[in-house]
Amino acid sequence: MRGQNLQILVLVLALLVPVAYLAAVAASSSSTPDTEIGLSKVSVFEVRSPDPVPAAAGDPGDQPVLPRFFDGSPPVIPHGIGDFLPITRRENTCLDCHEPTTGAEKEEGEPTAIPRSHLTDLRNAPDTVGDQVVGARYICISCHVPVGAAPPLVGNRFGQ
Amino acid sequence: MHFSGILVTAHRQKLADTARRLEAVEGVEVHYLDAEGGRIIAVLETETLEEQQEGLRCLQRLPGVLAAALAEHRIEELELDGTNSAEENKVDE
Amino acid sequence: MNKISRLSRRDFIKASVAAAAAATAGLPVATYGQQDGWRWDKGVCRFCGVGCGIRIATHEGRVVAVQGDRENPVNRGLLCVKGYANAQILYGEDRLTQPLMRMKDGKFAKDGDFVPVSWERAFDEMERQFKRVYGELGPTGVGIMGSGQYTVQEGYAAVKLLKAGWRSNNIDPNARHCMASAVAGFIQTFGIDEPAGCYDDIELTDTVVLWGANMAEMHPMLWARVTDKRLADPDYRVVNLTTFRNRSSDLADQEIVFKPQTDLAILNYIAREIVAEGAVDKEFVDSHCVFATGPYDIGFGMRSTDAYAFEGEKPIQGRERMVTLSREEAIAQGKDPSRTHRVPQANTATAGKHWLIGFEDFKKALEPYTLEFVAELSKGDPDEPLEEYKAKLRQLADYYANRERKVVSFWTMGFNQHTRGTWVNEQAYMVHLLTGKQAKPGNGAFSLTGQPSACGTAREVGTFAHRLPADMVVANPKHRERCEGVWKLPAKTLNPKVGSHITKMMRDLEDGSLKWLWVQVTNPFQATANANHWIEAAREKDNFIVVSDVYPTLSCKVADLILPSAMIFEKWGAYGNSERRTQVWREQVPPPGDARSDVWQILEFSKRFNLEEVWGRRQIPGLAAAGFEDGYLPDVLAEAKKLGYSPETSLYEVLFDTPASRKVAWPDPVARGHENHTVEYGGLDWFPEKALFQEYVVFGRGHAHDLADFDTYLRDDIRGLRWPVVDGKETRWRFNEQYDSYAKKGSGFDFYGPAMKSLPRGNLSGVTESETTSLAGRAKIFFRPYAAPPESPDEVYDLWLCTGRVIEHWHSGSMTRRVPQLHQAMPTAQIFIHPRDAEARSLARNDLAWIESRRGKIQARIEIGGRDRVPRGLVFVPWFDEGVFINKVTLDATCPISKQTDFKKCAVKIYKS
Repeated sequence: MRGQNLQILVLVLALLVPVAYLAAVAASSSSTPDTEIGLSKVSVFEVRSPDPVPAAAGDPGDQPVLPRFFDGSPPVIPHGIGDFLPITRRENTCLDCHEPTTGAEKEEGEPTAIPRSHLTDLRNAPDTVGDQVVGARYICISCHVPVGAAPPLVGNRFGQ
Repeated sequence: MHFSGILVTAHRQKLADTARRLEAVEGVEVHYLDAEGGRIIAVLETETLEEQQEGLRCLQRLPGVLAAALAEHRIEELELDGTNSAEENKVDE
Repeated sequence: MNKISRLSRRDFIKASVAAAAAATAGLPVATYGQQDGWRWDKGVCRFCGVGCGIRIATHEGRVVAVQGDRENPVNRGLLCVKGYANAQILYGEDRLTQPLMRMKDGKFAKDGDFVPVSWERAFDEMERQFKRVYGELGPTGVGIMGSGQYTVQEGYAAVKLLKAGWRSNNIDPNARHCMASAVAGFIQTFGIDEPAGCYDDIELTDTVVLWGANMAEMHPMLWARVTDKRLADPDYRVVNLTTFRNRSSDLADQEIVFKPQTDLAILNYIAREIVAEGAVDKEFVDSHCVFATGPYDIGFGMRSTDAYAFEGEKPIQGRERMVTLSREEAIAQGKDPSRTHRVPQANTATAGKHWLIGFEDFKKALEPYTLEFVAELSKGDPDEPLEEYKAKLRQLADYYANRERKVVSFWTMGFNQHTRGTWVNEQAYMVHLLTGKQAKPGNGAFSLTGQPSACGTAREVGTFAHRLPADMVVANPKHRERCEGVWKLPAKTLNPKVGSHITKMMRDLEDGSLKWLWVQVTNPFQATANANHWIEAAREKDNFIVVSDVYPTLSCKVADLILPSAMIFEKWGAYGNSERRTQVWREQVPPPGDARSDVWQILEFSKRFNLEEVWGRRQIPGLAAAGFEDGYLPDVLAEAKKLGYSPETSLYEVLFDTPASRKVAWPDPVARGHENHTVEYGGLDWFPEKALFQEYVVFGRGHAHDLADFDTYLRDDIRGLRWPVVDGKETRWRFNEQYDSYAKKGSGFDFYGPAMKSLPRGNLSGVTESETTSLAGRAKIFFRPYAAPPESPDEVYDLWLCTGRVIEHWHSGSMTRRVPQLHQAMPTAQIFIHPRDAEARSLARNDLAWIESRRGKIQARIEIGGRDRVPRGLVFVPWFDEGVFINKVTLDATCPISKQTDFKKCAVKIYKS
């Protein structure tokens, strides 16, 4: 857990310099114009030209599994998902690769197995483990987001 | 070796006492207490399947225990060297 | 890897076996070492109206983890992508931690820059400005913009200060943009607010119909329940009615893409089929329902004058006064389509009036809504064959008409954000009431709410311009009297004239009739349609705008004073979700720096007013009510003396620091060692959040809004309770005698809501007998016609614009855009456009484009495909991104009854930057 936090910390610190500077400005009781606060550092009357959306992360297996933000937070998907959507009643391509865990050990680079927690129907049968992902967890992207390349707008000190 | 994750349901008011009794049984370790739900997760380590069955029956008879049920069972060889990481096998959310 | 090197292999195996067993058993899985010193407590998610239960871990004054609460029946241990971010939202780097005021040379200056000041200095200026404006304009010159994200206690304190203290009714929540049409629909149909059913209906029904609710993204954990049920049950059916293909379509058995606004026609087609096929549940309708209708010429909730309109806006604005019916509208309203019908909008101020009609009139009104007519009118995807579309409509009507099927209809913003939002809500009840599929397990029309306490606070507490707690309204003398009794106010303290709704408050800022505004728990300058008007009014006019928030939002940027607020787990609070479930949480961690809870802010500011300053004779333009001098509120100081108050008594003493409040002592064992920083910074020995709650619940008890005691909700075995809570028992299906103790014994069903239950009789043209009939115990089946929206695409502005949310971001993004993984997953708002529409404009994915309406223009990047697959002729742009300020483009037309803005349709053009 510590190691994970450290990685996040480094990532966040690298992008924090301008924000830290602003915070220092505010703290020193000099004045801050409204164009320098918030997520868009422009006047509310100005029309911005938003940056292009960064390309989605690469193919499965290109990137290692990413650290979690805290124990129990759903892992971020370390690859692009455009090719695997939509998830429909008939087809969930995520499940083709991420089969539920069998208990067997995983080789480096193999897809992360869906953990056993996902095989338990907490609403209807909380004390049994089935052999497939329960319906309530079928839409993977309700809980898991794919990683992206956009730099943070503002740093986040969670876990620090 | 057989490693068995056991879900123990106990009287809520006697949860701590029950956990201590469980710990006193050979091969048993208590890992989680769920004070709100009156539940305990214990791990039982045994050489054989027969011993596992016997151990489970033993836990079921302990005072304060309402029920004890096998929730997870894993067979692991421990002769291997300690560097053989089982990290990827981890079960989590 | 640390863990491996620290633990032996044996220990590691044991730990993972234990974790697996715990997961199987539904125990929270936190690993051994991490639990050391962590404190876990139950709470509720900060985001949407689903109201998921969470467990919060704190350590050394910080939130360190959250989990889905497996004991909570709402979400059974699961959370969505935002839910898991509940811990991270507290720790954005630019949290506001001290008051910031615009200053020059050490003094407040409207054109100054932000300078950190003390709370004392901030309140001094706020008070000075308030008293200046109050002196000049009186109670109507000041206002509060509140929120469906207020805690119950915050909303209650704000209403009490504004309505009882300042005698103004200018308080209105962002929930006006979210739920107002649902409320008006409930009140007009049932005489009482909020759904009959509950989430259990998802498991109990066999047909789910979505009407303008992309649940897969906006209510993901309810969608998980729908998905679970659909995958397990081959006979379960899910239908998605929408104006574009979205993630909810991916699971649905049937998707119906309709043209914006034509939901009004589709529902009438369904009703017509129900009647034609003999599927009316005659016994239910005869025993429990009546038929009703109202005027059609009600305008679009825009200003009555174009004096403030931009030149380009004037043609659309003119439709507020005169509408030329389209051919389809003429048919839909039973008029000759070969003639031109110019209809003066005579009922803009009386849009909500209605009267009883007979079944034969109702049937006659439905006559034009044939399959042919409605299919032609409503088909939303020009590339879909008409016959296929017709087959889908037939199937949909059959789901409702089929006596063997149970049906739950869900809707959110697609219905509510609609210039005929109240009508379309009522039409949903129409089809459910006709078929007797209402207020029964697995059967019901169910309005989902958007915000975590739009129900619990905005609606139940009544933080609206026209409301008082527990469904009471300021215009009703009995309701005012009851409030004055509970609040120990002199008679006629409360102002009987309805205040300004949230969009009108913006208009008031523009025309100078409101000059002092306090914004709490919301970001209205990003969230209100046609924003160019309001940001200019805020910055250029003579007014003083205070914004309390946790992060510097767009509204902070236009504010004159910014106050730093405590966030959800930094204070005690309560939320009420869509299924009437009230949930209370404890403060978990202290607020950062000088940030303070909103309750503290309201209490502290109330100390700056004594009765003499607010309870004298006050001018209220337009006030006309029985017992009141026209245009004035009376001086009540003499009456106040009889109640033991003096002119010098402060509002704080009268409203908050009351003898009853002081009996609610702090410390309190229910806190179990949790702190209370409202108490600490207020120097109190009483427990304000509990005192406010306990005072508030008095209003609902005995009036079918019963809540349990504060402490009950904090019990370990309770995960919220669905009101009315009677004899300790919650209510799952209201109005149903088997489940609701308020329903009269022997009635079967009793629609006991008391509002608007005495009506005159008439026909489709109007009232014919003015004598009124009592409708006690009955619900109304309304006929409402199809009506075209105020603005539709034409040759210049040739595309529909629809706006909305995305799963990753909450509202204006002020919290979620500071969470790294959510921001990365959805870094900016894009224009979702059909590939052929893009091609026709020489636009490719990720190109920069202008999106322009008669009201303003902005730039955004093009997205083709992806999660929202729009038909030709329509674009979708999410509104979370202040850098893609789409509300500069949208139209501020509202439902004339509910005053809720239609953010789902206006006309735009798009071209390459």
